[in-house]
Amino acid sequence: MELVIDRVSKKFQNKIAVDNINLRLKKGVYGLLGANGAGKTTLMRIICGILRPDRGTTTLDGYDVSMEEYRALLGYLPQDFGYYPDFSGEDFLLYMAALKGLNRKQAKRKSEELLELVSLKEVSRKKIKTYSGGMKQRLGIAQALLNDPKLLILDEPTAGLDPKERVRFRNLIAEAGKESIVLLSTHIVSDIEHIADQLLMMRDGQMIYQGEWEEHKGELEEFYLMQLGEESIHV
Amino acid sequence: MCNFSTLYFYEIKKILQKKMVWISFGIIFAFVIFMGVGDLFFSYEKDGAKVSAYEKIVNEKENARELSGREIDDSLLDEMKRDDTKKYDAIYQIVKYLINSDEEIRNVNESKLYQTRTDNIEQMFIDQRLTEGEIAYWREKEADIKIPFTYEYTRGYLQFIDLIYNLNIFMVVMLGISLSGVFADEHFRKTDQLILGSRYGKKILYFAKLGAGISVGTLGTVILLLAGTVLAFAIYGADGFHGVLQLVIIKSSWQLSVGAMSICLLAFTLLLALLYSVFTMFLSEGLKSSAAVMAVLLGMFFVTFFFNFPYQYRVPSQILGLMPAKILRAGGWADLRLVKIFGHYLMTYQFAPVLYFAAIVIFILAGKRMYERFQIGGR
Repeated sequence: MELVIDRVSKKFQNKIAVDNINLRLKKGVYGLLGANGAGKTTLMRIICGILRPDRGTTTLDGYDVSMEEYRALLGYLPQDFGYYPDFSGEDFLLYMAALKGLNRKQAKRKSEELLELVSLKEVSRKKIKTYSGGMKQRLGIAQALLNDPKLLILDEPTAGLDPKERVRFRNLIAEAGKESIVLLSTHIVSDIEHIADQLLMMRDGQMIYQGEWEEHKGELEEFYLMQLGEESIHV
Repeated sequence: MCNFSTLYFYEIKKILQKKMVWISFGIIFAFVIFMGVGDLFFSYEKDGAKVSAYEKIVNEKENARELSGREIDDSLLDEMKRDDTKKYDAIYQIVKYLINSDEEIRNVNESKLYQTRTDNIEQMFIDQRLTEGEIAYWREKEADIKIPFTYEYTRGYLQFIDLIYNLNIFMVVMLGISLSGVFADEHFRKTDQLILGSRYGKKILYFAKLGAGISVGTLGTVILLLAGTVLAFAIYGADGFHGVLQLVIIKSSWQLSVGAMSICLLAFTLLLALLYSVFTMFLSEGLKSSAAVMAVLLGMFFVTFFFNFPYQYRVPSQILGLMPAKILRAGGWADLRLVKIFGHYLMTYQFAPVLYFAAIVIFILAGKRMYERFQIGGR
């Protein structure tokens, strides 16, 4: 399983959002760090095939990003996760499962399993508009995992989760990373520290660092700020 | 197959879960019912006594049924002129379509009546600036019309035709409210990121959405049609199916029965339901805003309904004449201009369905292209 991003670039009017990115990712968890406007979300959208780059290609095991076979292997949780307010949680997962290609039996089984996993089983028949922000986020995580994706793209997945839920989420992702490629972008450095096998750092559309992170390298936050060319702030 | 039925089911659920859909349908349904029974709420005076509208309708029906089967000739016209009991009101109304002045009606005879009709038709040829070929076409059609006309009581079909004309604007409103969000809401809610990134989120989902929208639009139209039709025929009767079209549209040269025309109108309305549904969803994806879709739909309807090109501007005038708002109204049948295709002339009501089918296919394909190529960026 290999995701190949080859010389991908994207420009919006006068701003270069993604600048000649080259990546080869295998199984594992990759933490994507970067300031606001660094190009993380744009890169993720390109990888998910919902934004066409100006240049370059993205393939997963030889399948181009535009192909149905590519999307069949993909799980995506966007930063601003949209939902249908009058659907129940269960309805939403069954709908998403149908979109992802699961048949009814698989969809039912997988939905029940994931609702249990993200602790939404008891409210699964209630309308999503009654859910709290954290519950909606957990539902979003559940839909991303429906098709046991080989490529899991998570954009700010822990936003809105309380500390306990965040820990559960990290365990979930760590487990997923054993069999899949997980690309996770976040501002919460501690999320990366605990689960990412490799770090990717972006600034102004460019990949400025790619490598493994180990504790002996010091505080990740300081390292991150150093890479961005900013001094750390000590309180 | 490809989970199409599941996706179709959920797309219908999305449409029907909106309160506005049920509210607008309920209001329009109430309108249709009121149009059907509204006449029954009035009362009239006859010979100093109050008569309910229902009694009036029953009387008119009885009088008209007594006259059914008789030719509108000198004998019947003389009886009409001598009558002061309103028993011949149905005949009087037909004569009045052609001869407006009461003074002239008092002196009308069979020859004068049908000559007036012919003169009116010839004048329409001039007013509408028909070509020689078109004039020859209509004169040939007119030669096949049997004169004098045989009267049949067709009030029920008149009500049905009125229903169809009014249904046109109701459909625009109902389908606009129901279907304007089919694609637009995905962008508004930002669920487009999830669905476009999924395996069946492009081609299969597009057709599931289209299918759901067409189903809801067509079913809503059928329910309204059914309600109005049942009321029209229950109150006024379904007599006169084989009556000549000229009893309803006196200046028409079509050799068609009232019943056959009604069936054509019914089929035409269902085709319009399909066209409006597809066009609304096309706009929904193109404009990505339900409010903008409604604005465009209503704007287009009213512009095409009220605006007219003078006949001397043949091409734009004839194109406008093919718009649903122009065809499905009382004067729509009066457009005598023809479309010539491969040496054959087609009337508006023959050419419009061909045009509408082509438009439906174009909107479906163009909408699919827009939908599949949509890029989520810059937000």
